Amino acid sequence: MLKDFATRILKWFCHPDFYTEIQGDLEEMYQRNLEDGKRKAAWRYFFQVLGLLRPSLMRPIFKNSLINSGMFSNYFKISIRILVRQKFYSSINILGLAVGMGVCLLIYQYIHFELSYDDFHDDIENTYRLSLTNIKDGEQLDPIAFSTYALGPEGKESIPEIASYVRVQYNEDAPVLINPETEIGFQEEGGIYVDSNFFEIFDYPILYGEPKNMLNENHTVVITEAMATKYFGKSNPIGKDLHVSLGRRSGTFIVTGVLKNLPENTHLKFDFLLPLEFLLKNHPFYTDADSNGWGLTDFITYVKLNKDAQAETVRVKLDELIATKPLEKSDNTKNDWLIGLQPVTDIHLKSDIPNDPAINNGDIRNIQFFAIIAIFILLMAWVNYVNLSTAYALRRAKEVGIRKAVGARRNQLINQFIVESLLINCIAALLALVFTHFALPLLNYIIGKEITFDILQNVQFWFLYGSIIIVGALLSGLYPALILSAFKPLTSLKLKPTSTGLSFIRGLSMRRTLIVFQFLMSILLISGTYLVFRQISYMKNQDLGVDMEKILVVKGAKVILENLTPEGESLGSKYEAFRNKSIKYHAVSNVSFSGSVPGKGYFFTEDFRVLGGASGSEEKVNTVITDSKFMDTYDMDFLAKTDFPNKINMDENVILNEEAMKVFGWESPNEALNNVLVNYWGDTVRILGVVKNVHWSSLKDPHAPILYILNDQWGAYFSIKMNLTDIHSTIAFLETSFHSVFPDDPFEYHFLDDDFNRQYQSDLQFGNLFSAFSILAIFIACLGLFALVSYSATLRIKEIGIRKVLGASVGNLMLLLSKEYLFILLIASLLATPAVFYVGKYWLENYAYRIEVGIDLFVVPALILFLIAVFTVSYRAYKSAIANPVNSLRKE
Amino acid sequence: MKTYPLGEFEEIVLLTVGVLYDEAYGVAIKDAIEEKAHRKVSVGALQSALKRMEKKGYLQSREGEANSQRGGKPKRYYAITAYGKLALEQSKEIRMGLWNAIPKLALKFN
Repeated sequence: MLKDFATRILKWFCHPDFYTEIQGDLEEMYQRNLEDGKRKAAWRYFFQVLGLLRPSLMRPIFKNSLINSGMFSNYFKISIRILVRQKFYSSINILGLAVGMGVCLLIYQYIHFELSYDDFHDDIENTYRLSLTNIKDGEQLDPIAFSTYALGPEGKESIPEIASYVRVQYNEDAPVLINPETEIGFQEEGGIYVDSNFFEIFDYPILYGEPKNMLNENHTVVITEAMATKYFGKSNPIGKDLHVSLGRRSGTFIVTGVLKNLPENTHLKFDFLLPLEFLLKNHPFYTDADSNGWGLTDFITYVKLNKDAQAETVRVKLDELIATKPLEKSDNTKNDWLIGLQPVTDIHLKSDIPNDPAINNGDIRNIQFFAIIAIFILLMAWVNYVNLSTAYALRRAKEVGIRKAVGARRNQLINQFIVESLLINCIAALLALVFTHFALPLLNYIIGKEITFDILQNVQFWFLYGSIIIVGALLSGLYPALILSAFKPLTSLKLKPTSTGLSFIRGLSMRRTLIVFQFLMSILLISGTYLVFRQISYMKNQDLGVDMEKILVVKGAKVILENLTPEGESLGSKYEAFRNKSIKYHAVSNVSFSGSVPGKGYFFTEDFRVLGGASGSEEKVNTVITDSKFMDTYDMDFLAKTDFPNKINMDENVILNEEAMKVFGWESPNEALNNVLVNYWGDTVRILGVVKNVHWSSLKDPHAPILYILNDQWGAYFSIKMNLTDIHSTIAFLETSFHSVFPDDPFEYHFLDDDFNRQYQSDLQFGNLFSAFSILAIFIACLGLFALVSYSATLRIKEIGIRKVLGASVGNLMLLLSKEYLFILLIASLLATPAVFYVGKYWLENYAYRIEVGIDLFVVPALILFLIAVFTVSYRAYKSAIANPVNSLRKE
Repeated sequence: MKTYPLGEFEEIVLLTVGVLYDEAYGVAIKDAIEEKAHRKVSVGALQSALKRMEKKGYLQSREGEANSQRGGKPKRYYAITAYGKLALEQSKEIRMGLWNAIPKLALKFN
């Protein structure tokens, strides 16, 4: 067995001149070795054959070759000649394939990028983010990414598997940063507080500075390159001062490090880093209220485990640790907490945390979805190839006939057509690389990220590239090869390429099926695009309950806080002064100060219960801090209200929204009035009014229960309701009055609707990506369609001529040529309907407020494709129909 | 002076072909080398050396008889050509020259 096999290999590779001698020698030795046993002899024989694999003993590759290259070079030559002769056919084939492959590579690049999140940190596979899940009365709530201050250090102390930890605190309040030398200042939202060992765990590339001691001192700050340029120009800012103005947390910080602009593929984005130690010392929450660091879940904790540690063991140990701690527990409710360890590299795509704080979080389902689209677009391109080559098969019939007549075997012909398809696929693959290269900036523009064309160094990429070519060549080449090689020599030599010949091709019904597939894919993609954009425009045009266009939001004054003294003027009176000045202007109708504005989230989410109600009746509600004019400024309708007292004490009074009223179980707004709510800490608030629901956040989410806590000293945002007649002078006026009250603060503003609609950016990107792929898919489908119609038009040129002579109109003839495809389109639309219906419904379930899946979702895309198809077909059909019959009929 | 390049293994093969004189075919050469030079020789190494030297002109070959031991395949006998002889002589001369040039003391070991 083995020996025969080895002999066959030898015969294959060995130079024929040497074969008899060498095989003889081997045989002789084998006979002799038989004394040691047959198996042993055979193995020795086999190894000797392997030892003969030397260039000097091999047959030459191209002459009398290893593979039958004589015929192959002929196939190659013929393929090139056919490519050149049938320019129209070849270019459509190649173009379609190139675009299909290009889309595939582009999507691969995109997926590769999405999967690469945070993989640039050293040793990141052992780093996890801790999450907390609350189990309240046996009911498991959604996990949160935030944990307590003490969890990190105490965990490290008691659990040996934890090598190190770092805590990160997102600042809920944006400070104003000022360069004291130049007095350049802006309000910055991109700051985070971190532990001093931040750079032991995260390897963000550093431009200047020594990572080990960048954040050791309390008054140090690390900024990114972009920030450095913004505040210090081009010079190296190390050692320079940067003033951070944020009330009690203000201070002048020394720049100790500059990071290169952050890599795009990281879940943790920031503009500057401040020491967490500084925050803890200066923030009233952490100095006063926190019970040894276990009371407030404000910190994101990352832990790095030892190399051989199991995440599961650590999780169990952390659960045990946290069970002994006073983590927001009241006496009567059973309130347990569970820890989760989430690998940092999973955060971007596989986070199970709703509203994950990670920036720009993706979804693994989108990735899978785009991978499927890529495969289908590639399939569409291959379908084109199959269709065109079977349609053009008749032109090759004579060639096949002659080859057969002179003795070609069927598998040789199959080889020939596979070589041809391989050639076309290779050319297309090269063009696809060019396509990808040029289309990538467009992709970046659409998704708003900076992906670089770096996959060429990636082994995996070349593997994919190679398999696309080979699979493509086989898949698209095999069917035409089987069809073409099956021609009977006699018939094929007799055959004339006329319309009657069409029935000769077995590929006809197959071709129809494939076109149905292409149309089906196109319709699905168009429907998807249509659906996404309809939903986005629905969300944008929905009545939000607030007139956002007319509200200008100015970032609240921060620097002023530093200059206030307890005995001097209060912040509230400063606000009042600004309000009074601004309202004098005719276009300004109202001014209000609040901790947040629609689209900017809540102050915090907290448990409240009705005073006097049973313990355990707590409800989670969201809070927003506003002044008492806020409802008027935003035109919120009161369902009920008591008379507001003349002086509203800070943080003692609230206004509920409808949803919150329902949550606490009041049937009517009047019932709720004057009730008192109490939170975990024992703080009480009295209900002064109930307002109608407004959409505080994106329409993806349903209305949430909101408590508007009245406090006229909290102006993170100034909302100014204005008339839009003369925007520029109004804003100029506001700026002057702002600076007269807050001389040191920067004046920065935006219109509320711009900011609110930014919440739909990821949907918009999804929609844009979708439409780009639909356009490419339709392009590929139409290319194929166009070529097919052209071909059938040339086949039927005489028929058309005769019909015309007998009096057929141009319209009749066009219908004759295109009705087949219109029928196919109809079938495809019918097939697409259920898919669109179910997938559409499924996708829309992500949105609390959504459009209905209506009949337009089926009709509009089909109509669009119909128009495109008719346009494609009729151009060619029209050209044939108006041709002078004399030209087509005189030739015989 | 014209040079006749000859590798170490080639030289051994060429000498062995000479030793075997009329009986120098693949298996015999392999056996002889294994016996006289105490080294394992693979068919591949041997055959590529033989073919290389035949190409260089140091060896010529003729087809011999077939027998059943060889599965009916004829043997191929090798013989040294005049060029082969020159190459061997040159190689020997180079070695002898080097030998003679070594000072006595250099090889004196006690």
